[in-house]
Amino acid sequence: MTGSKDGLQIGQDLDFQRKEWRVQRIVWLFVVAILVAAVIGLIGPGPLSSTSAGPAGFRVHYLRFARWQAPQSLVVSVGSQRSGTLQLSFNRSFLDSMAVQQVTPQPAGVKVSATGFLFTFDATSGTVPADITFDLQPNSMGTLHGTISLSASGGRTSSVDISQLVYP
Amino acid sequence: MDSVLRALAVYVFLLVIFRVAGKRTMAQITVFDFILLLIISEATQQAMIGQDFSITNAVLVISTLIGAERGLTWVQWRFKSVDRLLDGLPLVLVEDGKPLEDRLKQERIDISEILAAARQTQGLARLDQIKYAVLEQTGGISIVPKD
Repeated sequence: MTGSKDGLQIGQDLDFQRKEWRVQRIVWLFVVAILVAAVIGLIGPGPLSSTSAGPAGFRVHYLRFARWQAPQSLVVSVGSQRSGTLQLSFNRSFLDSMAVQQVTPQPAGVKVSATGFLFTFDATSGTVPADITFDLQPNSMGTLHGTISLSASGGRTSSVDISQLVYP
Repeated sequence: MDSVLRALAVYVFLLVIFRVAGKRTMAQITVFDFILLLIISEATQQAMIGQDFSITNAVLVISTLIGAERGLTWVQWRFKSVDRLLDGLPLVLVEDGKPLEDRLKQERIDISEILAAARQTQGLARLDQIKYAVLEQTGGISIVPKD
């Protein structure tokens, strides 16, 4: 409809306008859906994102959904029956995609091997149960798979598999 | 590569979100809109710059944004269909002193906004003195008075 009856020279198009309003409404619904997803934790930290895996005595608390270059914590809860030396190992590909900002408490030693990283903690019987916190920052996007193994001196080795989706 | 892609991603997102927010969103900047603008720029800046505070990065980001703007302006000039997609079309809101209610409702414009535009631009006192009120592509309201 170019040019109204009384000579208003204007490029108005009501069909297009109606489509525009419809698209605007659809996109806003989409935006609201994204915001709701973010609040419940489907995009980065939140209730549905926080989870834990592993048996009692070796629980790994982590985020299912994280964001690229955003700080996050991975907490390993070690049960009380263990004492002596604790060894926590991460598979290589997982920690290669993360910057390890800080480990609390500080490990007594870190070893690098072809397959992974080995963190050693000295534990006396009074210090466990304990939470070991890894402050991490993802360096890459997409799905990351981690395998975390715990072996105490003289004890059995158990391992936990985790996977995390890192948003851009 | 990183900074160019980041800047482009932010550019496209802002383009889409402000397009679907409607023409009027930033047409008249109230005090609160101004504050909102500052907060948005702050939030945007983090995503575009990241941890890299180098001059190189700033040059790349600014060049990308200006380049995208320039490129888009050319595309809009060359292809009218892209122009209407990105900037929308003008819309008549008042015809012969009669407000077109469904359009006002869709664009969430109050009749008082049209009267304010009529007073400011034409010195008109009443709705029936307006021949046309048009919501322009830019989001402003233009008034054509009756003879």
